[in-house]
Amino acid sequence: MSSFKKRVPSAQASLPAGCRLSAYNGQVLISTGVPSLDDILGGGLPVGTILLIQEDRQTSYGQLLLKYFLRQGIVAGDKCVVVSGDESPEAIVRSLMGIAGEESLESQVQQGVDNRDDEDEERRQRRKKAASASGGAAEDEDSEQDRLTIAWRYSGLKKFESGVEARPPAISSRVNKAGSTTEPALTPSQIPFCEQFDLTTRISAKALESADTTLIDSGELQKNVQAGDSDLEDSDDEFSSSGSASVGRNQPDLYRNVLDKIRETLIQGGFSTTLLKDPSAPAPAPGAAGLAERHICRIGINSIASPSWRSKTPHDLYKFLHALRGLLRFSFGAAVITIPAHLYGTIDQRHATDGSTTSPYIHRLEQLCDASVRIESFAGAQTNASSAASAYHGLFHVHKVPVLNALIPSSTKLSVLLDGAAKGSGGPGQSGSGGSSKGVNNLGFKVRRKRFAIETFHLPPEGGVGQRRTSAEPSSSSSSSLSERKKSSGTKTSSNPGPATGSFKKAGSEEEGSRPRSLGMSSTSNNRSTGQVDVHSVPGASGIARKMMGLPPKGIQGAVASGCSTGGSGDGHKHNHAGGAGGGAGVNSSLLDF
Amino acid sequence: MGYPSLESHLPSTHAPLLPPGTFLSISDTQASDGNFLLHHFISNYIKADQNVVLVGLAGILVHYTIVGRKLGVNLATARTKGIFQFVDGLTQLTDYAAPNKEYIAKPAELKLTSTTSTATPPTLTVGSTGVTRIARPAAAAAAPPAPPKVLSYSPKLVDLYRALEEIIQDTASKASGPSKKQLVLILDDLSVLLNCGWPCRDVLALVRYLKLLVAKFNGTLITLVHADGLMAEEVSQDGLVKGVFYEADYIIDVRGLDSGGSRDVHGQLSLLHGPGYLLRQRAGQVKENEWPALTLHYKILDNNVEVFAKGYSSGVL
Repeated sequence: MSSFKKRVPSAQASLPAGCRLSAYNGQVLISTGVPSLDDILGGGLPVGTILLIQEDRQTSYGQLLLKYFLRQGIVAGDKCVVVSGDESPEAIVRSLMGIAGEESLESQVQQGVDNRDDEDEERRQRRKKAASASGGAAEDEDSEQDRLTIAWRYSGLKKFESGVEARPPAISSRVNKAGSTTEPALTPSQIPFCEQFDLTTRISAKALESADTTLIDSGELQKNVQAGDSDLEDSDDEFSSSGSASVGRNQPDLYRNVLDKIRETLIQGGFSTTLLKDPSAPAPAPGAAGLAERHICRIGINSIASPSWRSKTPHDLYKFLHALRGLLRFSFGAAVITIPAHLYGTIDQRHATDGSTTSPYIHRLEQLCDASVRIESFAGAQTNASSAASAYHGLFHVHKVPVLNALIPSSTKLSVLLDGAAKGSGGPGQSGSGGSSKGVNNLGFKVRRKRFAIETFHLPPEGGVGQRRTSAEPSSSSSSSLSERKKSSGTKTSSNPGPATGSFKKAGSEEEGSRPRSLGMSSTSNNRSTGQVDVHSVPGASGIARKMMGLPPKGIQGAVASGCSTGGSGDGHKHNHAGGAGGGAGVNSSLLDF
Repeated sequence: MGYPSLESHLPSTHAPLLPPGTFLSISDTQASDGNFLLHHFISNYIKADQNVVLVGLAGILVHYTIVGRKLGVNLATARTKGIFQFVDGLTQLTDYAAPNKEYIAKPAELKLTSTTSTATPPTLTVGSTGVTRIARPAAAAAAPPAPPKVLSYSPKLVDLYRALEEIIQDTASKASGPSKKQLVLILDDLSVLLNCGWPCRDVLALVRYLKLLVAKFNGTLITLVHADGLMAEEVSQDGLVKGVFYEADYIIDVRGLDSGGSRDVHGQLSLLHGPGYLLRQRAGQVKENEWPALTLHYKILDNNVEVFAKGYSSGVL
């Protein structure tokens, strides 16, 4: 036991449950439930802000993020306000995910098994098992392969990480919880900032019971408002006459009603610092103790501005967001709003794949929110980018990150995903340089069996290493094979000078055959015309055949030729190109097998 | 002093302040927030002991106070001294926020709640029945400064103008001592007004009125407006940007680099001449090279902003 003790700052104790202070600007942060998203936002979602999530098409990853946010709120004992129009808010709450390893908690703690399993983790386990079964030598080899084998000088660098791992869960707190199941209440300091969830399980009934939720069904609300047209209309009279596009008077102001409900919840729960439940009563003296017992109000709005949300004027949503922002800035609350952004904008904008293009309508909404991200899933994409990056489920675009109480957003300082400088090899000196607010890295997301993760997006090496090795010819062009080629090329020249027909595979093999044919030409110093045919047949072949051969597309052609000519400098003047191939066979074939 | 590297590029006649009676319009894009320029002018004016009226339509007082601390100015004491006025245009601006009033605490109890957390220090609002009630800060006592004024909803922007007019007159009259002080009125984000449903025509009229009003008090108007190229498709948005530019003497256009993000260059500033400047130039009121139009690059640091000529970033040199 070392004599060093971890110093617990006193400020930490006074934080509300499940919160932490930002390392950069001292902002109180809450977790979105997804460690990688927390990282992008600069450690977490600052209290008092709005995060806008632009939903994906044909999939519901946007809603998944919303569920993470709400589920984390239930873990922390926060108040959750769920607003939904398309889907009943109750259904959303019921379908929340469970906590990873909630059932078999004790056994896992005893074993010390980390229960954040990914597919690759499993695979590794499996491989280890197989290796141990086959024998010690094999295992040795395997572990050797597991180690970095590119070059010895890279082994000193830290492991390349494309994602962000959650902090290991506080095992001790879990043991407590598991040991005394009769009292489920944890002390605020024991509640993890970000719990680990398991997408394969559902929220337990007990957690659902204890959850403090307020459900607002905007669809129901709309019906009610329509049925009993209320006094709201009278007060709105003046506004609708003030020049903005006034729609029919009997339309209910849905956004206003939703906002009123949210405000009421905030005030009744005592989350607001400016608006008091009972203005005449003396304000409660706020102290550290009171703060520790405080909870955060999490507002989750599902698919705002979908067709089921009727707006009275086009400005309703803007006003709603502006008012909500004003409300939240002075409250212990934060909001995550998903919006089907793909419903807005023109055709080409909707099909755009780069993050910069959104419709003006959505763009103005982003101005009124503190953070904005966009999910683009490959399943709903019009382009077939998915085939190129099968390891990911979609792209994750960060349009805006919160910048509060500072000149630059804290995520440029702290985020690993957005800007590698924060934690990378550059070190603290480098991190002073910061990054642009848009971030440098491209991000993609994966949904593994149990969790959602955002990672830096890389395309895999084209074709994959194994594929390349199998499709290309064995590179050992020994003299014997050369002679064989000579033979085959000899037959081909006699039979057919234009072999550009047939299937791809065949064309490829023809190409491979025809290329060395030039070698044959050179040695036999045949007539030049066939040599010419050979040269022309390469660009004449279909692109796929070229690809299969691994031939360089265009520019390298010249390099091949030049390589040949230099190699065969001692050869004849006329057959410069073909003659060079004899000497430059090594060069040529190595290019072919590339 | 604000950002020293930017200062040398700004009009030099009244450095570090802007020439009185002028209008500086700042436009920005989402990728490159122009808010940092506002902090520059706020801190410059406060340090020069001049009057500042800041209308926070998007930001809150806490944000400006904390950033001001990083730049070396204390806005809290400036408020008690009466040279800094913050006007809250966020919480009660729209009609959606109207029912707030019944829950607002009475001013008598406000002082009790004035020390809470770091996240949301109580920037308390004062309810009023009319447009906006002016709450004078307690005279230089140790008492905490009075809560900021609130712009509350009104269907007509004229009422908003009246509220601001009252505040400015109040501020200017207080300051009229032996030395005539300059005044700067800063509007945090004009696009918010457009988003909240006021027509473009009215917002432009407000800007024009405010410009004339401020000029009367030996002051300068600074506004921020979002001018993403994407939004130029919208008629009202485009009209606002163009209209504001037309009123301006100086224009600073902040946008990201065309070539994309960079670690060492966060964006570019274009210092441009507005029509007002050209008019004055023709009238011979402008010194030579007072405001050279040029494009610079910038990089935002923790508590400073580096402005440098194109291609002269520390990453290159």
